[in-house]
Amino acid sequence: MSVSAPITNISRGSLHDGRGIRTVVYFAGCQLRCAWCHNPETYTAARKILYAPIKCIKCGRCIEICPAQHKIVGDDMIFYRDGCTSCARCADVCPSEALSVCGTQMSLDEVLAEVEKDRRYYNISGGGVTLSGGECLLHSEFCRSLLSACTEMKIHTTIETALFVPREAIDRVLPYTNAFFADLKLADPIKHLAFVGQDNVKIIDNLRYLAEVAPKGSIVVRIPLIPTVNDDRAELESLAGIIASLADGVGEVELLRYNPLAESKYQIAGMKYHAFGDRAQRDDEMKRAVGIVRERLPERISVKFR
Amino acid sequence: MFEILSYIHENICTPLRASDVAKRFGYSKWYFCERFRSYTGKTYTEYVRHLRLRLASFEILEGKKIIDVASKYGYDTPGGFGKAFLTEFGCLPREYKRKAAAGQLYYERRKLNMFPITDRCAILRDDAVNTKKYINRFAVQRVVYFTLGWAECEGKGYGNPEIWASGISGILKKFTPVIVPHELVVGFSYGDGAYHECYSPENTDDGRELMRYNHISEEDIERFFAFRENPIDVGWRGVAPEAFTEAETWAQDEWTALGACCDSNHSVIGFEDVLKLGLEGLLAKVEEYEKKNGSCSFYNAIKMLCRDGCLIGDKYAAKAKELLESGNSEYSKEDLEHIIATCSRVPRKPAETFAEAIQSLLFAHIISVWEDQLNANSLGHLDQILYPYYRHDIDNGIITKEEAFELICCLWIKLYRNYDVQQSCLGGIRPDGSSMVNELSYLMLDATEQLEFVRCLSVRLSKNTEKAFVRRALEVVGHLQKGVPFFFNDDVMIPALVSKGIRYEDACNYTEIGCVETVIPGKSNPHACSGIVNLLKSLEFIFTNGYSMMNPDWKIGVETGALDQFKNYDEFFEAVKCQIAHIIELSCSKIKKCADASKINSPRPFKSLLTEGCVETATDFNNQGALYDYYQVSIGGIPNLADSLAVIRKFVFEEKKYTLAELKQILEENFPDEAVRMEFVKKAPKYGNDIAEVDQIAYAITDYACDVLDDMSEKFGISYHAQPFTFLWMIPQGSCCAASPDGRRKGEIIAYSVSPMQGRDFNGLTALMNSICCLPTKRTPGTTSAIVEVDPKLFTDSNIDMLTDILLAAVENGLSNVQYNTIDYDTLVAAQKNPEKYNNLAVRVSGFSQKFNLLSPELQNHIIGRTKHTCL
Repeated sequence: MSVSAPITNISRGSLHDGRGIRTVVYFAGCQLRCAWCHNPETYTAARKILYAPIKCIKCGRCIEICPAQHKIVGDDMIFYRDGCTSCARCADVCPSEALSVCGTQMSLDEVLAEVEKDRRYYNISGGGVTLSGGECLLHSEFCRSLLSACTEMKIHTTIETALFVPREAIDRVLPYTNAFFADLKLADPIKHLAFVGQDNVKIIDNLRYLAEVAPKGSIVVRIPLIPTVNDDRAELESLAGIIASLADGVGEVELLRYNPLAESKYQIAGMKYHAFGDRAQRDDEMKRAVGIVRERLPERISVKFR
Repeated sequence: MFEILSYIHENICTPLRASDVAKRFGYSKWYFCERFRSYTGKTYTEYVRHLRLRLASFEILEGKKIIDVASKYGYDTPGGFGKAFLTEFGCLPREYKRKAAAGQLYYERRKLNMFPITDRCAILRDDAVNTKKYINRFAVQRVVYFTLGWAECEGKGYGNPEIWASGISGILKKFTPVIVPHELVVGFSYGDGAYHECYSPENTDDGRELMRYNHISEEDIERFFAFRENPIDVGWRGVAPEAFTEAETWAQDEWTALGACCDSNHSVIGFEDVLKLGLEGLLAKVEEYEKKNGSCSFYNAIKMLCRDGCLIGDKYAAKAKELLESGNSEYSKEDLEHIIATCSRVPRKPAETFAEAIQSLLFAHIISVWEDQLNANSLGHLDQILYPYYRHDIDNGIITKEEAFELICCLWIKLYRNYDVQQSCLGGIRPDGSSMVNELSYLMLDATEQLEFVRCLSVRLSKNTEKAFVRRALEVVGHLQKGVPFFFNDDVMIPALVSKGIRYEDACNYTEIGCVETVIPGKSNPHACSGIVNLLKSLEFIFTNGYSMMNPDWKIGVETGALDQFKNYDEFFEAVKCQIAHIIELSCSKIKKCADASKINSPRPFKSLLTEGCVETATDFNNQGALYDYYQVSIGGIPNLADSLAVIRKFVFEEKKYTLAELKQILEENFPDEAVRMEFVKKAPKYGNDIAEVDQIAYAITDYACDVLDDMSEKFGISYHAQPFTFLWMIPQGSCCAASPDGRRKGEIIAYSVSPMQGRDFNGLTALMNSICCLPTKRTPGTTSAIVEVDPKLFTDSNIDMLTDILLAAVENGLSNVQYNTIDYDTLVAAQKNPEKYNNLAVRVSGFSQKFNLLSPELQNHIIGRTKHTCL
């Protein structure tokens, strides 16, 4: 059993990732490569150095300490990643946190200690912990231990997953998870392959399975609405069609706005960014999409947008 | 302009073309539109459209057919109506209705349930906010008549209390009563924050002209200047406080340990006594005690005020009668008759109705303002004081709830006209633990929200407070965006007060004055902010063995030895404690010296009359006559000191990266290497993020400061209350501080009260709350004050539930006081750049809200720099 997992962030006091006031644990590592991903630093489970030029005060401490020497920050403030072994010495000495480590290994106890800090807020609001990522279910053993510990402490548990994981991973966490957010991006497998890097057969298969075994109404299917990719009527209708055919584990569909502000995250992770438009959808655009999805779904499933 | 607005409101269903309206009121269209825009902040078309759609939305919610509503408000097609509706509310009328049914439009619905401000209050409000007509009017009267009253004591052989009372009587006898058209509640204290600008009219043409303008007779002008230029000895005996030592003076100059005796302007008198007995009843009570204890100057002074205090009602009644007889068309007959009926009874007689109670309360407040001069005296637990009268009137059909609401609005407007930190308090728990929230509490929140300006309103919470009330109060915070109301936690405040020897039943009745100073109404003299200490300075004195880093010749601290003798963090912390104890002792010793002088220098007969313990023992309010007499000591610099100690522990004692001597050099040179400063800022834990190791330091410092204050209480024989609150002193305190190890540069502002240093809390709202709650709040009866910055967008209907949960969880966790600031970063930056566009933007500055434009650039930057907690 693994007792540690790469965690990129633990964010407290979240009001939008499940019911009540929640602490969200972000895991590193994901096998999907959604072209619009706004957490690209969580792609790999391996430790990664992030560099935010805007915070850099050009003190040069990182250059002095780097074993790969002179490979780091030049006057033009570019982080040369060639030869970087993510040893993180530079991040250790960086005084301004321009350089930071993403995906630190954290032990179960460390994560639990952080989660426990807000118990008072969970109790009063019905909130709890949400595991997210990356893909948290790639660390299903760790998740299981964490979730079972939370369940023992009567902390409400939620998992946010893209479901591109082995079936066993789902089975492992199922008994200890109160609610699920499951991502569904595209109905067309070819388009899915093109934009997400994998086809959606396994995902839809897992979703179908989860909808059968999860408690009634415990799943929220989340559709990120990406301009020009999946916001046309045909695509939305097919997505709604898939959801309509699922068992009653699904209780809600949530449409998410496109996030046009992810560019800086790509920059600090040293990756290339592709924009699908320069703004988030307006309310009326979201409502139109909700309308399309709504038509195809049975009454028991509610449709919202955010 | 008001007439034009009412015309628009009345005729909103007609076409209402701008040119027609302009013509009707005799303006050109262009001039009219310009005036309209500058007055309302909206163009004419916008205003009318907005109003129509608002009214339409109400009718839709009431269940009228959309198509009917559309045509009623001049939309020919449902499509056009829908489009306009969409722009205004972000959804179509049909959805709006559905959402409302689903409770998503809670606010809209509630607004329907809430009484609207009546036309009367709208006019009065407008008058109070937009015109400066009465602001400085008659402020000079207070000065002149007080002086003349004082002068009259010549040869009478009066003692200090009688002379002071004679001054107040001087005002009571001669002031000019002012009744504004439409008023139901009358009385002015004549003067606001600008009062002391008119403090002493000069004997020049301008000065005399000012006095004439203020209706002061030629005879009085001559007498005033004659007395001013050749003061007669009226028998006043003043004493100077004992001289300060050198260290005490330096500590004062460096804003390290200030001490004085705050003997006026921060208290809440026993309003219930005036309402129940009337001044005549109180006079009888005083006479009884006089018989028992023997006659003296103190009793004479109080009796003088009991008698002359009645004049305030008489004079207003007479003024109203005069107006009524003159047939002045600006005033309505009913209003004047109401004023005559009310003012001829109170404050002389006990109040019988809700209207009389409000009037009597305001009159008593005004007299206490006149006694104290510029003041922050507060009203106390209004929803409790007034409730019996409200219940009586409602049950007997004397007034309706709506009329009660109007009276509350009238009182609120009155308070707004005067000084801005006169606080009122709502809610709280009784000794048996049950909630005190009642109908009035809600009505007062409604009035605050509808009037959109009352700056100082606090709400007391406990784990037993109804969640609906907490939610409602947070809604007001969210909708007003002015930082009111703010919140106090009974579950820690009451035990904190009890720990200082205050009876549990009395502690349960606490209320706040001014900003966040705690008082037991009618029973205590809190001497608010008598002491002001800056704990961050203690660190400086360790590095220099007692000397100031800013002025190396000054030895303010004590010698804690050479730097190299500290072997570990614990030894270092002991030295910090030594310096803290010394600083606090300096402050307390000064308070003691001043307190002794103020016993004689500052008699307060009217406050004594309305404070338990004074009349009974024939001892003045400022001569420790109050049942509870204590001195609040403000403690600043806690967050910075905690952060600094965390840096020292980590880098000096654990990692041994720097020696103390090196650190001293870095601080003296004010961080020559920015990288080192950043390292101190970023690489050590910071208070405000729920990180136990540094939060515990903050706890230890505060706890120790409380210990020291307990010792000082024993040493000096007066009770000191800890109050971790900095008011606005974080600026001068910061400017007198050398660079500190937490990465704060020399002279930079320090943190506000116990809020984290601005910009250093990044772990979310719950973490911030936990950090604040970790402090020993049950030992600090002066309130541990914190301002939390929240993104205004967070206050949506669904989120308010969760904000309520966060607040209630924090209350359970030991929160003492929290104030929300709800202006987002962009708005603040924009307001700083274009102040003229943001005239009404109010932010939470300290224990009060203030218009952003009125703040110094330094304070503006401080507020912009605070972390804004947003949704995640």
